[in-house]
Amino acid sequence: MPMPPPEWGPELDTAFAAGDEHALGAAYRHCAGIVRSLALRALRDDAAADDVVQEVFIRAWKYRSGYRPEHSSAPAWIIGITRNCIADAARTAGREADRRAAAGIETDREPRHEEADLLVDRLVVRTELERLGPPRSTIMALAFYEELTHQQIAEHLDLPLGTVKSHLRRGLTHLRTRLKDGHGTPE
Amino acid sequence: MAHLSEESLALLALGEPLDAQSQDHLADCPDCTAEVESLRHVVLAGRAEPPAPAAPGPQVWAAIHAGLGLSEDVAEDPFASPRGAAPDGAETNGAEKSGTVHNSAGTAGAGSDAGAGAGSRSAVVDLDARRRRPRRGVPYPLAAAAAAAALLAGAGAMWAVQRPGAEPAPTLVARAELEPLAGYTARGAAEVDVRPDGTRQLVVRTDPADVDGFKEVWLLAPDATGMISLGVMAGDEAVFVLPENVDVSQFPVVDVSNEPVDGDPTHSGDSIVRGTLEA
Repeated sequence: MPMPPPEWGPELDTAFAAGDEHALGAAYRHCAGIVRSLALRALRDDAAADDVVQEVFIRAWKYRSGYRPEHSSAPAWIIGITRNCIADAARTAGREADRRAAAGIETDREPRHEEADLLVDRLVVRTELERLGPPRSTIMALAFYEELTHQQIAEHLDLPLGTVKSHLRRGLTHLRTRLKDGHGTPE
Repeated sequence: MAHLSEESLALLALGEPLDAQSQDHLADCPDCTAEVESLRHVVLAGRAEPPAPAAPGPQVWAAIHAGLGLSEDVAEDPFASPRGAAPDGAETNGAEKSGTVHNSAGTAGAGSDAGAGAGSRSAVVDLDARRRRPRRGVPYPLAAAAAAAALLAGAGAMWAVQRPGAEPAPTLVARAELEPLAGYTARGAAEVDVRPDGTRQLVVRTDPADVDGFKEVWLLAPDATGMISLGVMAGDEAVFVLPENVDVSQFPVVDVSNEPVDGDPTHSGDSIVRGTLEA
């Protein structure tokens, strides 16, 4: 089965930057779960994770004038804000965590690094892929989600083989750069 | 043998099979293997279907909504909307959602937009229509382009009242900031001038860009359903005389592409900069 297309596209980036509240709602639906899982991993506390989610989206909306749709997708930008909020929350919670550690209190929740990281990487790759613009985004989507070969894509889109291959290479290396930019991978 | 080409490495990362000779090389070459692995990480991340993370409870959105003083319109927890409820509905879901945003942002431009979309189609701009899955559509804000088209229609009226020969210098009627597309950093600007003799010219400037082909300048319809090639751009500035019968309001998007020297006259799809003309 082909995978559903990502629910986020460049037009939502623009709407978000323009102050469309529906775009904020869409951003929340798109990344609040990931924001929460990142916060939960770092803070290991449900209530604290919820507070981070709240703070992240309030900050994102208040400071949206600092968001540049041409530089990154809104979800990737929001993940960046998440890192700051988590760091702030961790500082505030530092004393409490130290106390618990000293008392030998075990938390019942294991950090799930891989899953949260994968969620972020997936979000970055998918939103960045959409931002490549056609036909590169189309070519990349056919290769990624439909798993078509470059010959099938060339045939499907009526493009020269070399053009398709060149788009695949450039598209992939670009996505890799965006992942490394820190929009995705937590340090 | 020499290292595998970058394109072969990309195809491998995407899971395409390789000829025997290349396989042998790959088996012995840590550099090529490492590159494939690195690219493969990107592919796997994109293809991954991890379980959806747990959504925050409804009280979190309620607090955000109250904290920011948002309108009643968006009071409902975004996770509670029926659009998001069924995983099976995710596909239509995305289209529906973005459609909503488009409409709310671009109502004014809807009419002119439909008109511009009716033009002829070329191999490149038709891609979305030929995709098997429904797609969200255009790579730049439709609403903005449509609004620009409306502005340009006004500018057209202005051109009409200008008496040829009455102005000694070209008159600027529209301008576009050209923004880099993915993979490029060059920026640029384009302007439409009416010359004293009444003809229009498009002046395009770009920063030096790292292109492996040649640069070609195009005018695109707002929804990319049609495009006009103005010609090859040598150097970083070029002037094109616009054909008299070209309505810039129907093709308001200036695009500079990187064209491989492959004899294919259609747009390569590899755009360096792009921007919408505004009056």
